[in-house]
Parts: sequence; C-alpha cells; structure tokens
Amino acid sequence: MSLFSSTNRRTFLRNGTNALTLPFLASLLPAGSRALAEQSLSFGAPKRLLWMAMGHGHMEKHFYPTESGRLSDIALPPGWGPMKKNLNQVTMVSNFTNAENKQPHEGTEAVLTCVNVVGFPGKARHNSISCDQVAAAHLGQETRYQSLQLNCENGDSGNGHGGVAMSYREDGSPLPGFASPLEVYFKVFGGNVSREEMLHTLKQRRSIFDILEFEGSSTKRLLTHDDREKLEDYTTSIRDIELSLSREEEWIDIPYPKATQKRPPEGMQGEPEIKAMFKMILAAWQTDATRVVTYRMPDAGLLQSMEISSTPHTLSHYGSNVSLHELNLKRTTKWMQLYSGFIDQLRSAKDPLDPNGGTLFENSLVYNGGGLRTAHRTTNVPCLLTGGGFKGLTHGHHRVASKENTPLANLWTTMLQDAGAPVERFADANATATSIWS
Amino acid sequence: MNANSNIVASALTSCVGSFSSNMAIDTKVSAENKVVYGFVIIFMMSMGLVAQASQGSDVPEALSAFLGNHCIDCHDDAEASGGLNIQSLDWNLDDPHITNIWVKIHDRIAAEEMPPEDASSLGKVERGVAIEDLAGRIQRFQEKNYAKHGRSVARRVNRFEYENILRDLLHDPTLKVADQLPLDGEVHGFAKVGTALDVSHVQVNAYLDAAEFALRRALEFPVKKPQLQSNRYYAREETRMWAGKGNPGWARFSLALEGLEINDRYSFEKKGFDPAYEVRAEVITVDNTSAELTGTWRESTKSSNHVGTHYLADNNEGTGTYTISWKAELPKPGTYEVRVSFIGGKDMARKAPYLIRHAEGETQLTIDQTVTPTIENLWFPLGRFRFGSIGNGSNSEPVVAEISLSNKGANGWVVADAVQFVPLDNLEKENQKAQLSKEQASTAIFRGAYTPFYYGFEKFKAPIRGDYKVRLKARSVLRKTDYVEWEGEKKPRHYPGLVLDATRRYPTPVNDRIFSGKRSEPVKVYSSTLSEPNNQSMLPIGMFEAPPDAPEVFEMEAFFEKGAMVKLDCMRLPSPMVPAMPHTIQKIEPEGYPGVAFHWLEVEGPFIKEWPPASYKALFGDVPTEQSGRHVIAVPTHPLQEAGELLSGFMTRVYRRPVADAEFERFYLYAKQLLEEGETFTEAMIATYSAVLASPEFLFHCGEPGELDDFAIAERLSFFLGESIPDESLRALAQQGKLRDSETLRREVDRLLEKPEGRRFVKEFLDAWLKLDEINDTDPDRELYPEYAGDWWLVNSMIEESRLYFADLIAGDRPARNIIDADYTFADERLARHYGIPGVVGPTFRRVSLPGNSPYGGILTQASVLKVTANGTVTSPVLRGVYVMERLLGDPPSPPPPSVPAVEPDIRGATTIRELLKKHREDASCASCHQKIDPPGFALEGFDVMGRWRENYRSLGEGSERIEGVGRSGNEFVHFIGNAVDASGVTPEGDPFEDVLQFKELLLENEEVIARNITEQLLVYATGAPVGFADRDEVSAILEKSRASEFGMRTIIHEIVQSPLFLRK
Repeated sequence: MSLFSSTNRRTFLRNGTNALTLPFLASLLPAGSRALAEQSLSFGAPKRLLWMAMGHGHMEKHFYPTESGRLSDIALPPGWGPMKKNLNQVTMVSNFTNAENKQPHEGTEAVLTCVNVVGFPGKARHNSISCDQVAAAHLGQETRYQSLQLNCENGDSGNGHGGVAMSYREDGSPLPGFASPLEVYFKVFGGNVSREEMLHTLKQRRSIFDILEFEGSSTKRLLTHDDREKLEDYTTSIRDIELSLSREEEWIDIPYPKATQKRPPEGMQGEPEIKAMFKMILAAWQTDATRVVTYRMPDAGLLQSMEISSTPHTLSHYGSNVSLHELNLKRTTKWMQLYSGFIDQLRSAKDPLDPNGGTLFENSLVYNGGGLRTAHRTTNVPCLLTGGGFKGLTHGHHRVASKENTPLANLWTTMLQDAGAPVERFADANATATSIWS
Repeated sequence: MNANSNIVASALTSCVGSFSSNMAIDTKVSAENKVVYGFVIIFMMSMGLVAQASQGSDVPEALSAFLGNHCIDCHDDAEASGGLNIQSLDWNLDDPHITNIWVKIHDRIAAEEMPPEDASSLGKVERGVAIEDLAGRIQRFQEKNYAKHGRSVARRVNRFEYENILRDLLHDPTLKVADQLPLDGEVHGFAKVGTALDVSHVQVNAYLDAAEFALRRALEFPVKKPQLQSNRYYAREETRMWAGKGNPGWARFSLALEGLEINDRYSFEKKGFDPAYEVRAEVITVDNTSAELTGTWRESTKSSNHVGTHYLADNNEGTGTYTISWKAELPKPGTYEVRVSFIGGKDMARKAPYLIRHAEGETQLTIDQTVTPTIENLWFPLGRFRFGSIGNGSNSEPVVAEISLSNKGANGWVVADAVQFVPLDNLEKENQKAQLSKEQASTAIFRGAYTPFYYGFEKFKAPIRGDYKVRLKARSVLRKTDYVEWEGEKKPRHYPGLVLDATRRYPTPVNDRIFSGKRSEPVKVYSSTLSEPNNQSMLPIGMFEAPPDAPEVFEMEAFFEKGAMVKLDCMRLPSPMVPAMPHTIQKIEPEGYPGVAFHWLEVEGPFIKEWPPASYKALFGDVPTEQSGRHVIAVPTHPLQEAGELLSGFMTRVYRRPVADAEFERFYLYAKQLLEEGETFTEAMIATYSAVLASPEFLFHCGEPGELDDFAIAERLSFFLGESIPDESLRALAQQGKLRDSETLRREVDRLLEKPEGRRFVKEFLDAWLKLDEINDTDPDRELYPEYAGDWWLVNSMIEESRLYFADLIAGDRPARNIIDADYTFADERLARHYGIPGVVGPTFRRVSLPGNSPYGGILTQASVLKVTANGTVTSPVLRGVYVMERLLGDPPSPPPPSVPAVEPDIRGATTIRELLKKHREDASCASCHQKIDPPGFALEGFDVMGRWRENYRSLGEGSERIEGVGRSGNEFVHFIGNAVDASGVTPEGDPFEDVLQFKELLLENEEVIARNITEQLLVYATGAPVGFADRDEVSAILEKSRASEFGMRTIIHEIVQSPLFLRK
C-alpha cells in the first residue's frame, strides 16, 4: 500500500492557495494550515470547543450559589473568591443531570456520551460516541487532528473519572489521549522525531496492521456469535488505527507550526501541569492543530501538589468532618483560580483565524464541570460555561434550568449546534439548552 | 365453570401433597405441577382477577399473571420499590443485565423474602409453582445458550496476564508492562470475563508498544559475559545516604555519621564518636550532699531519677531564703557543659532561678523544672560555659566552679539534686584522636523510608539485570537529644511555640550522644533505580534484624534491574513527613531515638547461569550476537531460514496449541517482506514477534462450545492457577491428549499450586476477590489515626497476612469456614502489635494461635479486609455490610435506589451511625435491603479503619477524653475518645448477636453458604464466566464432593477443575 494513496489532501491544498489571501493571518500558522484556514474563513472564524471535567465534584456549599441572577449581585459561595474579576465572563447553570449515568463513582466516563455504560446488552461495560467526537467529525476535517484529548496520568488514580477516557468513538472505544503537557507539545509543534523516523514508524506500523487485519485465520477459532463479535471489535480496532495512521501520513509533509512556547518539562504534576495543559490548549487552537479538545483533569494530582494527602474520594465523603470541609474549600478555590486564569488567557489570546481580529474567547465554547456533584450524586452536576461562541448567551449569570434534572445532553446539543455541527438532538436530549438563557 | 374449579381443587390437593414430600430434598417439582400452575392461572384469569402485569409484551402469560397478583403493587412504574420496576421489566433473557434481575426476583420469592408477609397472601403451593416455572424458563434458556455459545465468551488476556506471559516467555521476572496497558473491565470484580474485556484500538496499540518494549529488553546486555565481582561500599565513603526528593534539611535528623572526617553537607557540626569513648569522658558530678545549703530543705527519695541517696526539695516556702550552692573542683580550665538534675513533674517549679559563675562572668537562668530532664531522664543541660582564666591554654591548674539555686519566685516545688560538669575540650580533642577505621565507622539512619524519604547506598548501581548476593553490616543504635545550637538561621517556622532551653537553644538529636541500641531493629532491604518512584514493596530483597551490640553481617540474595540501587527501610522507626522535628521526635521517643548504623554494603555478582542470557535465547536461539551500542543484535548465517525456525518455535509457545500453516505463513511472509525491504534481522524479528503478540490468536483464549479440547484445558488451567500461558509440562500433556484424564488433572493442579507461580494466583485472586489492590486508595486520617499514617510496614503486613492465610487454606486443604473464623493466623511483629498479640518480635511472619476471645482469625476480620472496607476517616457499616454480603456470603445486595442520600458517619461524635441507619431503615424501601446489609456492618464496628479493635470511637469534636501527641509521621494531633462502640445487631433471620464473636458463630451455623460463595467466586475466576442460574446444580455437585473434606479449599479447587463447568467452554 502506498503511503499517500488515499488522500485528497493535496487537492485541498491547491484549492487553498486559490482562496483569497487574508492579511490578518498570524505568521505563526504554518503555510499549509494557513491555506486551509483561509479557505474556511470565508465563512467567518471557526468555533473552538472545549470540555473539561473533574471526577468527583465540588462540595455544595462552596460551589453552588443558592440564588439565581447576576453573579455580581447575588451572594456567591466561598469557592468563588478567585472568580471575582471574571464574573461577567462565565455562566453557571444549575439543574443539569446526566440521567444515564448510574455510576456514582465515575464522573467522566459517561459525561459526554450520556449513556449507561453498564446498560449495553451483552457487554459488561461499554460506551458510545461522545459529543466532542460528533463535533470533531464536523469541525475537524481541516486540522491536523480532528480532536485532541488531554488526560491525567495512567489509570484513574483516585480522580473518580471512571473508564480510561472522556472521549469515545462511535463504536464506544476510548480515546485516552495524552497525559502530559510534553506529549501534547510534541503533537502540536512536532520536534520529537524527524520526518524520516516518523515515516519509518508509520510504515512499520502500517505493515503490522496490514497483517493483523488479515482475515480468515482467526475465524476458525472464534466461531460462536459472541466470540465473533469480539473478533469484530478487534478488526474495528485495527481499522481505527489505520485511519489515524492515514491521517498522520496525509499530514506528514505539512510542516508543524513554529513553537510559540518553551517545551514543558517531563514529570509535571498538579497545578503546574494543569497550567501547562491550559497553555497547550491555547497553542493548539492558535496554530489550528485542532478545534475540538477535551480535558480529563487531574484532581488527585492537584491535591498532591497542594500537599493535601486526602484523595478526591475521601474529600467527597466529608460528612461533618470540618477539616475535610476546609480541604474541600481549598481545592475548589484552587480550581476556580486556575479556571479564572484560563479565562484571562482566552481573552487575551488573539485568534489568528478570526477575520475580525477577535480573541479565542470570542470564538470558543468552553464547558467546565463533570458528571458528579458532591458525595457521589449524579444530579445537578457542576456546569460552568465561558466563551463567546454560545449563541444568545450573555455571561455573568447563575441560570437555573426550569426543570430539575434537565438532560445534560441538551447542553451538548446546543454546543454542537452553536459550533456549526448539524445535529438535531444528541443522545437523550429532549430539547436544546438555549431556552435556559433566552 | 364448575367443572373447571373442580379440576383445580383436586389438582391443588395433589400439588400440596407432592410439594411437602419434595420440598425437603430438592426444589425441583415434577412436570405435573407445571400443568397445575397453568390451570390455576387460567382459573384466576377467567375470574377476572389478573391485573395487567407487565408492559414488556414478552413476559410469559402465566408469569405475568403471578407477578400482577403479588408484585406489581409495589414494583410498578410509579413506586418501583427497592429500585425494582417489574411492570416495565422486559422478558429479554438475551440481556444478562435483565436475566440477573429475573434471577434475583426468583431468589427473593424462593427465599420467601418477597412478597412481604403483610402485603400478600401468597400460599406455599402457589409460591412453589411460580418459582419452579420461573426457574425452568431461565434454566432452559441458559442451557440452550450454553450449547450454542458456551458459558463463557471468548476473552482476551488481561493486563496482568499479558505481563506474566512476557515475563515467562522472556525469562524476565521483573518486567513491568501492566502499567502501560489500559485498565481492564471487570465482572464481579474479576478481570477475567470476556464480556468485560473490551478490545479497542487503544488496547492493540498498547500491546504493540508493550511487546516491543519487552522484546528490546531481551537485547540489553553486552556480548562479552560480565565477570563475577565482589565490591564493598563503605557507608562513610558514600557521598550521601539519602535519595529523597524532599527538603534536604530534613535529612539531617535522619542520619548520623560516626567516626572519620565528615564530608556530608547535611551532617552536624559536631562529629560523632565511638560509643566506647563515652566512658573515658571525665565527668565531674557534685551531689546535693556535698553542696552548701541555707534553709531547711526537705529530703526526698520519692522519685528514683536522682543522684546519690536522696534529693532536696522545697515547696516555695520562702522567697529566696532557701539556697543551695554546688562547688566543684575542675581538673583544668576549659569549656564544660553544665547539667543539673531535678526530677521533673507537674508540681515542680516553673521558674527555678539558677546562677552560673564562669570565666566570662555570671549567667542567670530560669529553668522550668516541670519538664522531664532530657538526658537519660536525669540531666538537663544548662548550657556550655568556660571556667578558669581565658586565653591561657597551657594552664592546667585546677579551677573551682560554682552553680547555685534558690527558691525565690520559683512557683512550685524547687528540686535541688546534683550538678554535672562535662569537659568538652577534652572530648573533642580525644575524639579527633579516636579516628575509626572505615570498617568501624558507620552512618546511621533514624527513620523509616516513606516517600519522598528513602535511604540507601548510591555508589552501587547494578551493572546488569540479574542475580546477586548482597551483604550488609549493621547494628542498632540509640541517639539521644540534647540542647544544641540550632544550625539554621531561624527557628523552625512550623513550630513557633518550640520550647527552648536555658540558653535559647533547641532540643535536637545529636550525634555525639549515640549509644548502643536497646533492642534489635528490623531492616527491610529493597531495590529500585534512582528514577523510579519509591515504593518499599517494589522489589524486596530481604529483611534482617540489626543487633544492638556488635555489628553483624547479613547476606541476602537479590535480583537487580540494571541500574538498581540497594535501599534501606528501618521499618519500625517513625517516618516523619513534616519538617522541624526535634521536639516532636522527643515526644515520640523520649528514651532516645533509635536507629540503625550501617557500616558497609557488599555486592557480589552477577551470577550468570547462561550466556547469552535466557531471554535472548528465547527469541534468537543460538544465533550469534554482535555488540551494537548498549545492546546486541543477532547475526544469523541464513536469515530467512533461521527466521522461519525461530518464528515457528515462538508461535507454538505463545499460541498454546498447534499453529496452523496459514497462521505461520502470515507472519513468516511478514518477516520475509521486512528482510527483503532491507530491515536488519533483529528489527525484522522484533516487528514480527510484536505482531504475533498483538494478534487475536495470541490475545484470545481458545476453546469452542462444548467440551474443551486438551489445549484449551491446559490454557484454562494455566491461566487459573499460574496467570500465564501453559508451561512445558502442561503443553506436553495437552499434546499427548492426557488432560481430560481426571487423575492427570489432579496432579497438574497440585503441581501448579506448588510452583512459585502459584503465588501469582493467590495475589491476583485476593486482589480481585477481596479488593486488596485497593488497600492504598485511602489514607487513614492523621488526626484520628496518627499511629498508622505513613506506616508501610503495617499496610504491607496486612496484605501479607491475607496472602499467607489464603495460601495456607489451600495448602492445608482447610475448611471454607476458616474464611469466617479460625483460632490462628499469620503475623509478624507489626501486625501482632496491631492485633494485640504479645510475644511476636521481628519482621518474620509466623503462624500464631489466637485465644478464644480474640476477634481476629478468619478473613472476615483481617485488617486488610477491614481497611479496604473503610475509607480513611470513618468506617461505614453499610460499606462493610455490602462487602461481606457480596464477597464473603455470595448474596450481593441491590445497589441503592438513586434518590437516597448516602449515610455518612458523623465524626464530630454527636450522632452514632446506628441512629442514622435506624432512621434510614424506617423508610420501607431501604429496610428490605438494610436488614441484611446492616448486621455484618454492625458486627464489624468493633474495628477501626485499619482493623484495630476498639471499644470507643475516636472523634474530632466531642468526647470524654482528649488525646494529643505526635503521630508516627511527625504530625501533632488532637482527638477525643468518643461514643462507645455498639457492635450488636439482629440477623435477618432474627438471631441477635452482641459482637463480632457471636456474629461469627451465627455465620458458621451455615458453612455451606460460605463454601458456596468461595466456590462461585473461584468459578468466575477460573472459567471467565459469571455463575449463571443454570450452573447452580453443578455448583451444588462440587459442594457435595467437597463436603467430606469439610469443604476443604484444595478439594474445592480440585472439584472445580474436574467439573463440567471448567471442562466445557
């Protein structure tokens, strides 16, 4: 098989150069991406999507405002301290519930898929496509990566995320992504392997998968229906890998953008790691490496870097333990501080793809939350929104959905639609979320 | 109509008859009765009594009618009592989730738990007919399914099996790849079941990476065989003995150096010296009997820590009229440390005024005599002063020194006993003379290892992976605290209230006050590379006990990774995690601070059995090697031919059965293609081997519906008891077709259990069954449980007990009831202390007998189990109850209905968990489950979060007694003794128990329940399929065959392997 047989990438590129040249494109976009970007920009700046989640949620009294209204007018819980200057840039929504999440210890596994992971017939545990992957299919065609997944360290290590990933493909297979800022850095800016090494690796991998995909040999051994299903899973996996190899091959001759920041060190943990990941999200967007990102955040790592020895799970069982209350507040405050810092950066980051010279903030839709409230509750999960991409949403309010347990999928539907993905209803959505703010 | 009812009436009579005769023996009812059931239903339907039972259109009519009559009232769409909605429950047995619900419905009705007595008038006959009908339907469905697909779904290997396979295959016992592979899905807690072991691109990619990583390790060796060497590394020649990432300043309290010049920047200014030298110090002591007195002091001998026949005391009767003056004739001028003795205690003078006349003038000091004197409980240092004329070093005329004390403003009992002068010039001078040889010199460690503090010899790094011998020379020592100049610029910031001595110096453990230890100290020796995260259990080498007097040499066998260091954990010693420890150390160990002095490390090795190593031979046979950088490459003479031969051998080994030609061709052609494209032989083979190790034939277990063939039996057996692919012997037996022979199977089971790999089974099975792999998921709260925080020894010993105990149950074919109770267990010193068993000293595990009134004995009350069922702060009867039901009694409760908030214990101590649960049970929908869950949970309330016996809870808010101190991780803590524990309860059968002892007795009344549960747990593990409804008869058969051995654990394993459940897919 030729390495570059299946691509229509070059056609794309040629068209790109014919498109009108937009002078405002920042120089940091590599030539290839610039061309692509220019083409799409005749329709205005592309939307960027980001979903961030922690496993166990925040303690109620520190995080959930008791009244609705303008955030600057109502009494805010103590965890909101660091958000003061960005109150007008965020929206807090109450009453979202992921009714399909039956797993009170696993906050992230189903947060974007809105399915019951133990409810699939014949499977002990399974998943379905996550909304970010729906978005990626529509918004990810022109970027080096359809989407990027940022993750915490291998395994769950007590974060309460569940599963191994936040993003899942259509067949329910997980996309765990990258657990360190350095890995993301290499994905965005390249630089860890030469083109030749890369070609060699791709070629070798490709040839391995060619023979692994070889059918017929296995069917003799795996005869029964259930067993065949297993084998099909296997074959699908191989195809999945081949698809991603194809994409890598298509992009191999398109140079990586010039690095706009220093290479993050190895072995980062907790607060510095989270800050570095935030920077990488901005870099990925600014260089148009991708437009869709999910971040499975390292809550346990953050606690460790704060020298708090309790795990997120222990913190979620605070009961009447005053010292656990204090630790909870410390953590919530830290998360809010990090979040507010991220909003600052979004607001000051120019969007090189915006014909009107706007910022990334203006063109993004960012969800920050997770699938669990405090003490393993799956109702009224944390939901903070920021970014100017939400249609008709004026930030700066605590908005309460009129119905308790409004499907979280309503919000996903709205985010997909607002970002330009032609989706009618995602998962168990029964409406869009726009009615909550219009 | 009339005719119909007559038939029904007579049929009912016969039905009752046949029931009463059958019930006692078997729950099976004759076919005749099913017909009767049908009649009953038809009759009732015709009377219009049957409500619409279920919207699931497929529920069989008769069943639907029964449910409509007896269940739907509560279990409908609106109420869904206990989380069960029968009205909307589909009759879809294809879905195991739904089947499980139907089985549960069957079991609850059969056990007469449902419908509740007060809600229904279900007769015995109708009940029997209904459960018979339901059972038959599920049974028939599952049997049909088994015939078609087999009980188990083809499963892939899990990540631990993948690691073990590579270890076995490559003779690489310390290879670590499980962490690189994604987490496996579990059924009933076991990562052994096909439906949960998903395959995705993530998995396949990870297999390729892991395989390549492992294969390349097999090439990491020099062509030339390394020579056997023996090197000694003297402790005092190490640049440093600590390897922690933490604040280096903390290390100074952890190390002391003895003899020789000190080049360690974290050592004290003052050098340590030979303990024997202390005798030579010419200490001058003046007792109160030789002192000048004014006033009428009382003579006392009430406290024993005094010098001479008695001491003097005054209860502040005068204000300065009582005085005492000690005069000493010092042999020569110089600097002396002045020490006074004064008993100490709470009624003593808070402000005892001392006056010291010395060469520079007079110093007045106010001493708090309530403190315990710091040196040997006797002497309190006032400070260091110069006596005699200054600047005249050669003057050696005797000098008179004078110390006085009065009762002025003393505020409490002033004690006057003795004064001591310790000549320091002399000591320091003599000390320099007393240089120790490298052999005698040592570096001592005064703490346990705990991330990020770990200690070891860093000059040794293993040159190559392999076997070595390690020798350590060590002895135990005691270091006392003293008041010395703080070396840092500032007072430690964490302890603003730190007590200063008279001259504003700090109590600090010092190196010139090192003595022989009072007891031997256990040391755990382990290895890891410098860059690896530290974990004592990572690669244990061995343990020894450093003796208190003369040092001894201890030899251990070790397996090192390349680059591994030898690390040391003085396991009994505290592991402070907070800085500024001097005064906290005093609180932990007032007698002096124990440590272990290490003299040297000697490493002999590598001991090489074959070269090139076995791991190379496993991949490249006899193909010659050539050096290429840090590794070797294989250089064959006829690459294509040798590739074929090697590949064929490799595939036969890993595929667990004869390799089909087409299967071989596929990989052979791949290797060939790579070679033809110009890849080197080594690279081509690594790529091909990796592909084999990611191929479905390798990843998935073989076996077709129906009877397993010999190869599939070998595989199943080997993955059950060895967690890996079959060994040579099993492969040979499979090849010869002997594995369906019952006696052969028996011999093989015995052989596999005795192999070292049998330990893998014990570890992995217990990790999954008892969730022991979760033991470190929570930390005990440092405020409430200061004695556990930072204690690796305890946690490791807890796990070790469970493993030894379970292995012994199998080895000794001991009865399954020992899971609940026994009069023995296995313990080392730490666990024995935890359990309150006297007389167990040292880190070696041994079998210990337990007295009849001990709550310990049996897995139910092992500390490991009690730890994993608690979170770090509190115990919850609910969590423990659910665990016991699910893991030990085989009756897993339903998950709580979604809307009910969890019951969280109140650690302020105001409300008891019992009161909270009682309120919870008042809700009828909670009560039905909690009457089963709560009793085991209540019985285990007698144990705290780490499994230690308690009479009272500890509380952070309220309580009868305030407890404060310093925990073993150096933290200061305060908690209270709270409410008394009430561990009584009533079983669902109505039997009351007072405590866990009585509860155990009640459980032991039905041994079969315990045996059935462990049988089923092992079956899931062994066969990779949950025990279905249709398997119940076979399980009963296994139990019958084990009954004669009192359900012996080894017998059960044998009978499982002999059972059709094991021998069929």
